[in-house]
Amino acid sequence: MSDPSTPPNQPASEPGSRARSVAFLSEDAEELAELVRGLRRAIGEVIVLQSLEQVGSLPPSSLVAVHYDARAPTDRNRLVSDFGSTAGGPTLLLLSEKRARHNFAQLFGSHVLTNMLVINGNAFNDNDLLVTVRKLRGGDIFGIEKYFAPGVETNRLRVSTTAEKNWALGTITEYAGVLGIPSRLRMLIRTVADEYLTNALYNAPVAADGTRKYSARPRNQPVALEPGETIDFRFCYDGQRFGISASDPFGSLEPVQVQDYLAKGFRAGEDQVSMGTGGAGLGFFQILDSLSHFVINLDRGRRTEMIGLVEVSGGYRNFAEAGKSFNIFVNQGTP
Amino acid sequence: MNNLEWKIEQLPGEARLVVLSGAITEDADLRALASLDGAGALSFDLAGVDQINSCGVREWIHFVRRLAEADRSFEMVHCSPAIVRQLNTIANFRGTGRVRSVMLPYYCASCRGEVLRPMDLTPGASREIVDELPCPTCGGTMEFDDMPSTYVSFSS
Repeated sequence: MSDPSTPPNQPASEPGSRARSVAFLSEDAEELAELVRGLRRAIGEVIVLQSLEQVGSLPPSSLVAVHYDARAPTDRNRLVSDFGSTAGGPTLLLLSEKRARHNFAQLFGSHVLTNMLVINGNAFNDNDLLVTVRKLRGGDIFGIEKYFAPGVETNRLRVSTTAEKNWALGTITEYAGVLGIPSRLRMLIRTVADEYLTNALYNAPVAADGTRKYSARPRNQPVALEPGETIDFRFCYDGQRFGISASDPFGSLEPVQVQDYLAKGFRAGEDQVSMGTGGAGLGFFQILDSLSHFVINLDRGRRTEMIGLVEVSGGYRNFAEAGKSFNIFVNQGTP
Repeated sequence: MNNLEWKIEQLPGEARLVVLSGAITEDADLRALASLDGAGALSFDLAGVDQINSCGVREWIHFVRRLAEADRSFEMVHCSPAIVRQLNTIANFRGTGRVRSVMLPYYCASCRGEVLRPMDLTPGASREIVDELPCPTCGGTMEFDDMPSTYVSFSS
């Protein structure tokens, strides 16, 4: 086991920003041994920590992976309070084999949850883990292709208007139908595509002075983006998963907004749905509820990309039993 | 587009059955249904509603609130899996309405066939979900295509 060195005071880091060293927090040496070995083969040194106290000795740029299911409820609360109160500390990656949905309100509400991955036991057989770690360590964050094997064909549409959104929704639903994807999963795909494109058309566009151009507009009133503001909408399928992405050239999304909307959605209180005009404040909740893996890539002021992966190898039950992964990556590499 | 459509059937007495199908989205204008004349109870058959987006959820909540403000009693019958998802995750989705029945989804992994079976939720009815059914298409085994322990958790 490596002995983490005492860190110097460093400036705050964003959720999902560059994380150079990788640590696994595990009291049980065997618990994640195969995962650790697999990651070491892929990326080099991986530190294993035996207690939460040791996290404080890591550089703020570190990535700390924690097996969430294995921790006692009191320990989970401590994890939330410790990470939630130390803005600028190490980036937390929660690994979970189970459905952690009942903890989402707390995890999102505390702003702790920026990265959670469903893992398959101790086995290192998940490309998503490697992609996630590489992105968190400062690699290129954009592109749906990273989540699929080379050679998987990606379909691409350009969307600039509400009418084109409706056309794109028809196209992706028809495509999923031709592939033989069951109807309930097709409707999840359609819902995610709908929410992605609505967000990119109505919420993302900002004027030169930073004000949002269309966010207050009722969603049944059409919008038309300016030249150069076109949404890049992609989808693909590899026989196991269906992928969807929408990329806008604004980069106006704030991670904390996403966390707050998700917390509100999972709390299911009286404020769950915004009843005014504009958006219903429920889009991110509907998106995560409809996906196996929800990824947000952000380059502030330049680009926001939302990626969604739906497990479609079986029926809806197979999808529902598989749990949910979530990531927000913020590109810190541009000046 | 998969627009929302409905047809209205007169039931014995003043009651009416409204059969809805399609998607509930920002384009769904439910005000006409909320202001249906007459004092009889309303039943909404929701078996054909296959999608609801976030704005559609809000439109539906506006709708059930209008019904409550008009002191109009209503019930939801044959709720599709898309509706059941919202009942389980959205506070106040049913408003003051009563959910009388839902549709149980079954999926055949052999032929990819899909079947919906009604389940009665009125008091005294069995809440047991049969996990497997014979597939009417290929003769294989269809499995209940959701989480049996939580599918109708909204009604507990």
